[in-house]
Amino acid sequence: MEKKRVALFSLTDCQGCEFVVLQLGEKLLEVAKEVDFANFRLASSKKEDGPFFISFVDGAVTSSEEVEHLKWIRSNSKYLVALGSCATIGGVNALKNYFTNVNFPKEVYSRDFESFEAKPLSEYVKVDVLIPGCPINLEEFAFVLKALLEDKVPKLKLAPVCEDCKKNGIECVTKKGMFCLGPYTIGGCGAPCPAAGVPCFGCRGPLFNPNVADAEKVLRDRFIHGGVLFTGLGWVLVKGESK
Amino acid sequence: MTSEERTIKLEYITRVEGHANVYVRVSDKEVEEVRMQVIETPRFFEAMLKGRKIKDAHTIVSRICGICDFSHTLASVETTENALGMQVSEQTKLLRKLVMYGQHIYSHALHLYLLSLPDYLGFPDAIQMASKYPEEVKRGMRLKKVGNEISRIIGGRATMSISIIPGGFSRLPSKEDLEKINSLLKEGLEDAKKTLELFASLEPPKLFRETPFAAIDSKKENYPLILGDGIKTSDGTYFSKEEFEKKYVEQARDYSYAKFGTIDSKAPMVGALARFNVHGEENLASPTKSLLKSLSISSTLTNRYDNNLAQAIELVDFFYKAKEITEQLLSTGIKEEVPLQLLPKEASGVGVVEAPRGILYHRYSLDKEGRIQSANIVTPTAMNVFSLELDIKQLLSENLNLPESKMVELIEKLIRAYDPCYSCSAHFLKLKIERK
Repeated sequence: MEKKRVALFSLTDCQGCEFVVLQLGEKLLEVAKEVDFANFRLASSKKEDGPFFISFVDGAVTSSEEVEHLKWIRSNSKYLVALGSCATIGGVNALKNYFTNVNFPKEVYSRDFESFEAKPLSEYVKVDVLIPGCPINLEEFAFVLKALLEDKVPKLKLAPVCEDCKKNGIECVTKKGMFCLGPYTIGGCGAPCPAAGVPCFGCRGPLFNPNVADAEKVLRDRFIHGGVLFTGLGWVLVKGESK
Repeated sequence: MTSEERTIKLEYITRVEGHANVYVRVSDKEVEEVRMQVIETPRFFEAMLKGRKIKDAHTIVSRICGICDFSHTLASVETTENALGMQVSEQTKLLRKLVMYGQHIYSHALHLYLLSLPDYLGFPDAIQMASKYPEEVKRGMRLKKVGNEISRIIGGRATMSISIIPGGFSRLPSKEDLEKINSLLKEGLEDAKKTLELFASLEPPKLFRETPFAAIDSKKENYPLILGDGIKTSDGTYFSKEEFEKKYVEQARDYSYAKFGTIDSKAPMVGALARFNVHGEENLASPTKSLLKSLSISSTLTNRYDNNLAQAIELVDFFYKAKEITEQLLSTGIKEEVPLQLLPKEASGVGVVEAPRGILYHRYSLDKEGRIQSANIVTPTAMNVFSLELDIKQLLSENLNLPESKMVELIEKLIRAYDPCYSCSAHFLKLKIERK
């Protein structure tokens, strides 16, 4: 059987999600029996053109060059997967959007260069699968890769992080008086933050039907007063403000 | 312009973190110009920190880099504690040292086996290298995993730590956790030693250029990775971390998203090679020293390409040092401690740590509510950019007769030996250039 061609591309981000992929370790060699990594700049000097069976794209879109690149990737890929929060919701980069609204970069950087508001891939192209998280969870990546190689498009399960806490017997951090975004956030991460005694800050993005109007008021207040909120729901807030 | 003038462009440098280009203009007689361009998209982290509460700084800055995220976290918590005058416990310091060894073990293993070794064995990547050298690739993966596991166990997650917070740890490891780390270090030691043997046997290209090596220095620590008090260079300069922004002078270049810095008007080099040369063999663990002797490795390494060898030396050394700390913690037992409370006040603080790639500096100024007013971050890759550009220039002037493909190969190998991380270097520029 011919190997399927898979590519990994990165836009504006820290590439942490690609490093998580490399945590497959020796399993990566198993995967490579079925898959030809045709384009994976972080790990390989191979630079091949499409078409790709699957393209994983991490990072947010912040320049017109990246928009063009992303469109090229889309037109050369059967499946396009947004890898990690920057690609699914703008990620930490979306904090910048808040400042762009007050024209901050120009004031601070005294040189004008192109840098759009940070947007997720889906603002520009059709995305087939979202793998949320800052960083992604390796099991989810492996699950999505396996399904797509079998030509099946997996669906993201929509349940809050609270389910992960319950399943793993993690004590609710709100009992300690912490403000936790777990109830509003897409779960499936295994709740590593509450497990480590830290509240969820919504890195995997909002559940599709949170009570945004209510949440937004609370969140905006939190953000302005210095709450972390840099990904997930923060993006809803920022997006709401910019439009 | 002579008719023989040629331009070489390297516009897709692979197996490094982030995006950079190199432009070179050479004539048949000399190297006319070298430009090291960091083109990674700026992310304005220093601006994004403005107005954030100090308790969230470490979470935000860890997202600067997907490979040295723990270094940013540790630099951040030290900076916060420095600003607010917090004295963390000895146990906290030990756990942070241990997790930093984990970060370096992971990063060095990844860089040595997945990014650099394919150059020496002639493959485009480790996956294809595995067809002929399966044992080496698997060894690299095993070593990387040891580092990842230490990070995961102590930090709560292998990438983007959770439990390392200002004032201590939000969750402490259990005895079983430490026993797990201890056995991983025990099992992995042979692999680490073999790595040093392997890298000592390679024959890298050569490049010698006089340059000050710089590393953090600490009154209490030998060969420190955290808890830095200041910066020390191989030509005898020392300055405290508070003087950093005065002594490390940066200049913006209009062709690059990373600034070019100097210490005493000279471009410093930072990283494993610099640490080894600044702190010297005498500060390595004694079994590492014996191993160096048996492999006839010199106590001063001046060839630039030996940064890989220095990483391999550190890999073994950090296995020994991490094991010592783990055993110490196991014998005293983990004390239940709650993190120190953050009491906001108007203050500013600085912190210097050693990321795998070298010195990492953070400074925050806070208002009375503990909100960040301004922040400055200087990363090792940014510190190395100038030195790398000068190195490429010299490398080419010594090899002008080589065909272009060979030149490109030499440059790429050199860049990878530096182990750059361009996401980091581009995220902090303050572009103060006047545009015409």
